[in-house]
Amino acid sequence: MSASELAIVGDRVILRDGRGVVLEAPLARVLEEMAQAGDRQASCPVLPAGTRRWIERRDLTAVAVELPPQARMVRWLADGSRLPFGNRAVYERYFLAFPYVELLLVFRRGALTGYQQLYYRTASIEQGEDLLLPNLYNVAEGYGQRCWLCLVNVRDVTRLAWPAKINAVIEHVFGAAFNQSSEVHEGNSYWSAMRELDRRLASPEAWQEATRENPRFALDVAWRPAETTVTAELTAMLDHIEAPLRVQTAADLSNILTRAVRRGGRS
Amino acid sequence: MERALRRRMEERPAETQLPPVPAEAPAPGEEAHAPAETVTVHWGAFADAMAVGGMTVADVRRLLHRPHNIPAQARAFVNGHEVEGTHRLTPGDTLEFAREAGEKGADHERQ
Repeated sequence: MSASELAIVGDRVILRDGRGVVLEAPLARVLEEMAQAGDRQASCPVLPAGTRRWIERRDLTAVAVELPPQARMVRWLADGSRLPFGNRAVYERYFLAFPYVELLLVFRRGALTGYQQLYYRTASIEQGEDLLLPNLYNVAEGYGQRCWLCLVNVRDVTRLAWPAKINAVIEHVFGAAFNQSSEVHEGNSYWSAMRELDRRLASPEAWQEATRENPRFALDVAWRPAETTVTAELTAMLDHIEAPLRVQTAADLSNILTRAVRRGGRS
Repeated sequence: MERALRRRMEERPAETQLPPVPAEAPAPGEEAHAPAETVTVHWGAFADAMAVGGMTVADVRRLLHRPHNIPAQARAFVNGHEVEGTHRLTPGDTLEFAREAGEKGADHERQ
């Protein structure tokens, strides 16, 4: 590739090597590819409620959605349920206090990608980016992610507008019953891992009682540090799906030229 | 104002006479509690302290239906207890609209 030469001739970009022309593409298309090469900030004109970070990389969009501390009604697998998950398992309702909940989601052309995580924080992202490990069923270590969030039953969000898309995920997180699906399929969950963390979180009953006493108590729990940050996780999730394009050398430029040709033919 | 508030408290059905549970923590720099005359309302990513004390849950649902797409089938919980549309809100309450969305987890595939 060292003998390669990239030339701009009129409105065309031409890649040559010792044997002649290797590739050529319209300059406009190559510039368009170059503009797409790096991570970009939001093209969404108004960010959906709760959205704190928004990174675009080609056709991927990574977002961090922050939900403020709230006590919420959730359905939780009953102790006596014969089945560990599914619609025939037995669930009970509990009123549970949550700290800041950080949802990290990567979409491709508007669809979920399987890169989705849930973490806690005890202060808003405005105060820092460090993440804490949660204590929930259906959040597990797996698929190359520290706190993968099960969204398998979320309806197809591809065609929804961004606010509705984000809301559909939030609605699923708190509206779909928590159960032991991850214990069965991923072999772990952060509910099982964190039950010993604090006596107020030892059972859903204890958690609810602590919530009734002080709906802000979740901000005082010594949640375990995840030893990662919002931006680091969003970037890693994007990198897992599609590595960023470097534009530092002639070879990098020729890669972009190749992409431009693939996208639009040689004309 | 206090008299009206007391009268409203007295008129509440027995099962809803719970200590107010402000369920949303303040943002950094904000005061420790939502102003006494407001009700904390949340649905999905939406959470706000609103001056809707004295209104019924149905009134608030109507008020927020369009701007926040609260579906008709979303259930209403006040301070963690399910309530009917006729339930009248008291300042300091927390009102949550929530729709049950099946269960998490599936047989084999992940999304």
